[in-house]
Amino acid sequence: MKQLRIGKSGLHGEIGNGLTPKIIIDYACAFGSLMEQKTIVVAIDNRISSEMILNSVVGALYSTGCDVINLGVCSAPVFSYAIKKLKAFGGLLIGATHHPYNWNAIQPFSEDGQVFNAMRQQELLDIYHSKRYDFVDWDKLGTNIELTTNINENYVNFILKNIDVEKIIVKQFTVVADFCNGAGAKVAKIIAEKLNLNLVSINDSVNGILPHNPEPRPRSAMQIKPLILPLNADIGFVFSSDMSRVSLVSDTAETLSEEYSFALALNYLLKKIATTNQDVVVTNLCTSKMIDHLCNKHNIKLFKTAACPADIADMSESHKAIIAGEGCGSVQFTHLKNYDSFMVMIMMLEAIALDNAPISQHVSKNLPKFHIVKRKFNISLANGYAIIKKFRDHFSNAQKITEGDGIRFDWEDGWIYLRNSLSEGAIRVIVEWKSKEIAKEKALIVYGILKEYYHAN
Amino acid sequence: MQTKNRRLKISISGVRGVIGETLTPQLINDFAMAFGEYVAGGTVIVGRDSRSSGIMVEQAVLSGLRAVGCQVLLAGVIPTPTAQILVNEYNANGAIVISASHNPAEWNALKFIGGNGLFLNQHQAAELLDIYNQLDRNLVSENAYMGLRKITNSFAIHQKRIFNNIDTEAIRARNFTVAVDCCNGVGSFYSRQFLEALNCNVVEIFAERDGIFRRKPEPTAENLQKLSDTVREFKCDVGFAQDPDGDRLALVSNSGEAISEQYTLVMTTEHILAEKPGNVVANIQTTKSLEDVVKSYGCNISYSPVGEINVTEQMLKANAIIGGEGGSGGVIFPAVHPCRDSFTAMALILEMLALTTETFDDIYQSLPHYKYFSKKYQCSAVFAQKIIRMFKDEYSNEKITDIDGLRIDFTDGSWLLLRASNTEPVIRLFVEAKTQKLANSKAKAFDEKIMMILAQN
Repeated sequence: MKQLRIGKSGLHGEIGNGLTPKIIIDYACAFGSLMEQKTIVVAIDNRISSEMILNSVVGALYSTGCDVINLGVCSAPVFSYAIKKLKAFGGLLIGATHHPYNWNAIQPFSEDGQVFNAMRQQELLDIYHSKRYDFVDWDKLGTNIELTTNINENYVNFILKNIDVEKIIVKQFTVVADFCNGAGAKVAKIIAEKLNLNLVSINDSVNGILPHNPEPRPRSAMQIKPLILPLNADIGFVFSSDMSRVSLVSDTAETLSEEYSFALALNYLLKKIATTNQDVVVTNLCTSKMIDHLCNKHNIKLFKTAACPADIADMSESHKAIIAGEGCGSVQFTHLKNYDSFMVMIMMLEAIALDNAPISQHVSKNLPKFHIVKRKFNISLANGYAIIKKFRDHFSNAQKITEGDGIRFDWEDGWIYLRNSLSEGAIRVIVEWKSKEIAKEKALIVYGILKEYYHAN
Repeated sequence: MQTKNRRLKISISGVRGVIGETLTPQLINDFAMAFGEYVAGGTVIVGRDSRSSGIMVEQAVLSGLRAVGCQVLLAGVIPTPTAQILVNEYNANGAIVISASHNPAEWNALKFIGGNGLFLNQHQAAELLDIYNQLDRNLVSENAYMGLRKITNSFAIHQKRIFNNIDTEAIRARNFTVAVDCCNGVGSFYSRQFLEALNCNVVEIFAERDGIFRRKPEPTAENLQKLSDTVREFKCDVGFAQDPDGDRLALVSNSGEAISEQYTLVMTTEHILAEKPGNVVANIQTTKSLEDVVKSYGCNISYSPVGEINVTEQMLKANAIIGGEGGSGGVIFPAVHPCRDSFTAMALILEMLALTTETFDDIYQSLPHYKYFSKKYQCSAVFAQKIIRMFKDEYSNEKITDIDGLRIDFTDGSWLLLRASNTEPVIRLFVEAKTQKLANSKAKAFDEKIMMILAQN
């Protein structure tokens, strides 16, 4: 079956099988029409097919009269920063990031460096579905605008502004990082120089080869885990190729669930800044209860929305959140309207430096123990939505049922969540429980029921 | 009538359309994919003329070729003949040239070259169109994507081939002064250094490299006023006028007269046959002066339909030593490559001048001359065919050639051609005779009848 998803997360699909040049050009022509002949920033990640998508997008933008600043292979946070810095009108970010091999995607951004919210997506898709684009005459076509500033350097100076750089420098941290052969390595090198880090990086040459599962998770950390103890490293990071997600490895070589990335960032931020009970944190419906725990402890508000970067960004904007994040390892601070794993890295280093305690202690002292199990059930039928709804009958004993973006069942000691992936052909199952055994068992039960329904079709 | 949305022409000459209207990135991309499939993947050369819309078209072409798994060799701005030579040089499976040749600036086009370095012929063009009209494309998945390579020395390869086939020493020894009108086309990138390599003093006009044509792109006598003035001012030995993609050439004599495009082929043929006898092929739109010259050397001439590939194929069959398209200043010299090439034509004209003590004007005046009447009428291709069939019936007792349109050779030595254009929705009437009076009187009957028929519709 052909794989193509168009919606809140942009345009996603399988190369050669759904995500065709024609659809990409239509999408970019719609975007170009919406942007009314203004300057657009584009960038790609390391996947091999991304260059084809870039060609499609740039041709479409030129044809609708948009000038293009091409950042080449570039991470998501630097991309968002560049849109604002270069005073562009919007951006198209091309790349598969954490998606499986042979997938690729395009995300639309507005002039403030934020991924399109629901309203802008709607405007864009109305043009896309109408298939009527504002093509311009030959003498009004867009053209390439050369990038004259060193955007990476500018970006690093920008994110180090509110960081206690001196405190980190004196520590001479050893940091191990896996960049998944993406754009992050280059920028991390600049950060390492400024922060006096001994940065040991792997999978740091930009190429389209996926060295491991592209989602930052404990099992993706297996390549850096054995380096931690011999190098006497203070911390390890597994980054997604676009730097929008990260998972951590502690100084004791424990591979931490990606759920800890947001929790640790939040924990440190709440120490770093003074908060009031009016402050807001935003997360999605399937992020660990560690976040609820921290917000309760510090008496601040927690808002939850769908598991989608656009919804998170939009809710953060409307509530002026002090931080937002998702359990998949994404964290958005106030400096950018996008996820920024460089910032997570720097905040973790500052946390260790100021507290004078290793990262393993931050975990054990500050965060409650939960066990989270995530499963992906590949589904090639359009009736994933219907299957998910059937679970109401199975878990009618839940204390709370939340429907909207998928469905969530809450009990005293844990919760189960099912949703259709917005970007892949899959149902995602997430179970969190106080007990590891129960979490695993519940996940197994859900998986069994899914299998039954799927085969009945 | 020519309406806005009809400005698209898919023919043996390629896919021509107007930017912002019919030649959309979607259409370009789809044709590039179809071509990639047609040549069964592998290496494909991509080149373009200097038109400003070329960068948009190029992106859409690259996306299409890559999506079907072709390896692109990107040559940038190059003359059309250079692309044909590159196909042989790199043993490529084909080439796409982005150029609308002599069409006005709002047009652009894809021209398709097969693995033999020649344009697709009628049958091959039909096969390509058959693939284009299929609903599915054989898009490859990411593991079959090929990296792009840039070729930076394209024209050097072309130039070397020309210099290997002419007496460069004789030309260099004369230290000619020449004017060249590049029409802001590919010539602005290569002509000066090409002529300087032949030790010429070069005066360039319309050599700004922005692809904005500052004169009408057809190198016909009425568009060459500035070149004539330049030749007079700098007392040049000859003036050369190129079209935007560098396949056609017109000449200005040392007296400053812009002579008919027809004489580019007549003069180069005179020069070649004077050295060595051989067969000649020309399209039916060629002046009888050529036939007179060929016969004066006791050689054979045969006529082909209009269109470079038609002439080329007939030349290869007839083992012709030289040939071309008189009416469009297209000289084909197979020793270099069986394609129209303004650079080869310039070299041959210079060689002719170098090997004699006569001036350009002396040689030109000594050739047989005819007067002509020419007119074009806006008319759909279907209606043009009707008109041509009507005249064919009416003049069935004259000597008729109907390989392409209708050519009538009258017994008084005058001849007439009525033919629909391959590139524009027009029908052209061309009459040639020894005197202007005879040409006009022969044309009058046709002109009146065509006007009458068109007025009735």
